[in-house]
Amino acid sequence: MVDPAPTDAEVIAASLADPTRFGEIFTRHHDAVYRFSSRRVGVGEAADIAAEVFLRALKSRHRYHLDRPNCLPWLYGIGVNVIGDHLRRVKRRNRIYMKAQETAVNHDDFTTPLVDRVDAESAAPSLNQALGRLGRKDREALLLFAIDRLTYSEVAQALGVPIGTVGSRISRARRKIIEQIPHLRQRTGDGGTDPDKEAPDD
Amino acid sequence: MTETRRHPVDLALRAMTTAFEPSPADFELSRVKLMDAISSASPPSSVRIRIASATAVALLVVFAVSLIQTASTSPAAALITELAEVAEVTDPLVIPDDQFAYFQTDSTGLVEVGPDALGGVDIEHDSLFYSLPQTRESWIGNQGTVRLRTHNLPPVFFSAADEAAYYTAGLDQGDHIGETIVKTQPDTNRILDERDWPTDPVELEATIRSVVGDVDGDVLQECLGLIREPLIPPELRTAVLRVIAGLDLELVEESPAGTGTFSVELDESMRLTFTIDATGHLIFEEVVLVDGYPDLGVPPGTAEYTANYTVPRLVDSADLP
Repeated sequence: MVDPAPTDAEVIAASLADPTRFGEIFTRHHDAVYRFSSRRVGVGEAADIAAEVFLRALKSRHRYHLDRPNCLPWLYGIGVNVIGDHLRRVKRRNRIYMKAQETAVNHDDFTTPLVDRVDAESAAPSLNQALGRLGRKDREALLLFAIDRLTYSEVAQALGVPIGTVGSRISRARRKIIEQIPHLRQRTGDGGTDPDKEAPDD
Repeated sequence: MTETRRHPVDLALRAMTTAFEPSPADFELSRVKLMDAISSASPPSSVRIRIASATAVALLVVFAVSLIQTASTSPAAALITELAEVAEVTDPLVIPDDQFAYFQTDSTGLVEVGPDALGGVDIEHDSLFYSLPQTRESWIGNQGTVRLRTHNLPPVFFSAADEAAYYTAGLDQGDHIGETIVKTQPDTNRILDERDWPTDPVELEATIRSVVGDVDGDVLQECLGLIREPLIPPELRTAVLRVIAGLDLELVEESPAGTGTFSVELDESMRLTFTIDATGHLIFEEVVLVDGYPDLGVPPGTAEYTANYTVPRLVDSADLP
């Protein structure tokens, strides 16, 4: 009988004494982290972001909760911070440009890298802008759940918050987006129903 | 637990975003970086601490306490704390119905223009960089509007070729060089309105870190964003200054009039210098690219952004002189 592969937590525990073991974490999860990054910053920067995620993970592996077998949410949580740093640099550059151009900007520049992928016809105001107007924490909770397909508990793990906080952040984020883009409510063709009361499909 | 992945917002988000698969080269790039880091990695600090002797731990604690005491009494911290105390008793700027808060900003920003915006004009590097000086006057009323009068001066270039490309591509028209532009618009882009900012310094710092993260440079920039606001209440200004005093700053210069100029590294290659006047107002800030962007033709020491601000004062009219 073949022994089951060690869990991520077991590999990380082993890597505390033998850092080379951390390479297994990279092999297991690099592609997922790359996809996570590419969804947020596009293909051009995803490789650098993914690389940085694993470098930071290596440095902070001693803080990993070894009672969590799957470390992907943890890596995504690091990814959120890496991308946050990256976007702050972009934002700073944009802010300087905006100052120079004297353009009033009333929203966060978070979504600049996503702008190019938004369907122009649906962008008035665009989902992209609506996302940018969310608080950072609400936005991240929603994105981790909606596009990275984490569960609430995994989102909580990634962001280091209680699970109840995740629910309220996601709910608030959706509500604010729909306030700005009311036609989203009708997209499902069941106009009039409260989207937050849909039946779960998980 | 209700997890509704068919929520229309979720569906729209998924439709909007695309995930890409890494190429073998992407994978290899990341793997090599990680292997390099692993090869130089030592067991993490928590492991080392576990095996450290009690004596070593005690020495570490003494050293840490000493560092904290040094930081809390650094010249920069002491001066900013003094400024905070003065700011606390400074009268707030209240704008009557028939008056406006007026201030002037003289700034220079580094501008990057990508090849797509150059209409086929060749440039030496991947992007065209130049510094764009600007003067701006602002009149803020108490009804939530601001009148801005902006004048862009001719840019400063890093090479004659850049300058030629700039004018050949007609960027001077887009930058409105030499023109004076007047706008009256809602005063909506205010960091003050983004949330309820606590006036207790500890709570304020926690709030700021919850917004921008734990990098001190980002905390400082958020703080400067707050005290850049002309209508910030004195108690919040004081709290912001106390937060700044707790950061690791270098005192560059202290004038007899009580003005302090401070400096700090941002990231690893940027230096932020700012000046706070004797009443706690931000009157100067500059971000310098220590190494520049050599592969893009931007020399070391280039300022990414420089600005001088006048202290807001009340004026009777927003009519343009």
